[in-house]
Amino acid sequence: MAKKLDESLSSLGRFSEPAFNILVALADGPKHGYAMTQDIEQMTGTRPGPGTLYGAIARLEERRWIEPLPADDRRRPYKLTSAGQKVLRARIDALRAVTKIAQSRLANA
Amino acid sequence: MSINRMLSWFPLAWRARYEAEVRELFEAHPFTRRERRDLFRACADAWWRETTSWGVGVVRFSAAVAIRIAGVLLLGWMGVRGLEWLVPNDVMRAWWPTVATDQWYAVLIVCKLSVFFVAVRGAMNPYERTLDPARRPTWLQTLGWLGTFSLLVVCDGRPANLPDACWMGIFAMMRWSPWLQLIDHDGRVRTTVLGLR
Repeated sequence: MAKKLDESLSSLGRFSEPAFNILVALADGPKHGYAMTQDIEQMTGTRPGPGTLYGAIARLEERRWIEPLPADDRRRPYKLTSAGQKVLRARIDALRAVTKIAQSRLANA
Repeated sequence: MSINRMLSWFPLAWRARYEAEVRELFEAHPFTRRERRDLFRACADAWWRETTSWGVGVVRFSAAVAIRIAGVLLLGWMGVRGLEWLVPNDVMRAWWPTVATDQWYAVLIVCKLSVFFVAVRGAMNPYERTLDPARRPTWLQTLGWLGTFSLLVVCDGRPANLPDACWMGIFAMMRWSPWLQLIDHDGRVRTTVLGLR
C-alpha cells in the first residue's frame, strides 16, 4: 500500500530533528553513517544514537530526500537529492523567520 | 547484551539493508547504555515500519515477541524440571505394559535426547543468522523437520506429555520465524508461500 508522504520535515515526527541534522550533514557532499554521526556531534554537541540515525535515514530514503550510493565495503554513503535540498532550504527559511522574530522580541524585552 | 543479539531482533528486511552499516558504527566506538536503549526503540520502530497495514503489523510484531518470550519460558521450564521430561511416566507405562522394560525406557530416553538436539539445531535458523537467501529452508527440510516432530509426538504420545509437544511447537515457530516477515534482498519486497524456497 503506497503511503502518502507529507512534503515537510515535520511529517517525520520525533525523527524530524535528527532528519534535519542528517540533511545538513549531507549538504556539503555524500557521507556514510559514521561520518554523519561525527559531523552531527560536531554541529550539535550530541551524538545521535544508531537507532535514531538509521530510523531517520530510512524515512529520508523513503521520501527520496537522500539516496544511497554504492557501498564501499560495509560503508554505504548517502547523498542529498534535489528534493532533499528543497526540503532543507524550506526548513532553513522557516527557522530563519522564527529566529528573526525571537531576536526582535528579545531586543524589545 | 551484545550488539549481535540486539541486531538479531530486527526484522529481516531491515537487517538485510542496514545491519552491516550499524555494526560498522559500533566498531568505531563502544556500545553505551543510552545507545542500547536507542536501539531497542529503533527495533520496535523497524517492526512497525516493516508492515503494510496496521493489522498485519500487530500480528507480525506480536508473533516475533511471543516467539522470543516463549523461548525464554521454555528454557526456564526445562531448567526447573531438569531431566524429568526425559523419563517415561506412569501413563506411558500403562500404555505399553508389554514392552515397558528398562531397556525400552533407555532407548526412548536416547531417542528423545537425539530428537531434542536435532530440534535445537533446527531451531537455530541459519538463514536468520546469515541472511543468506541460499540458506532459506526448503520444502524438503521443512517436511523432514515436521516428520521428526510428528514422530516424537506420535511415538511418545502420552496425554501427560503435552509439554514436550509444546516445546517442539516453540522450536518449530523459532525455526520458521522468517515466514512471519517480508524478505527483501535486492530492494524488492517478496512474499513467498510460507517463505520457503
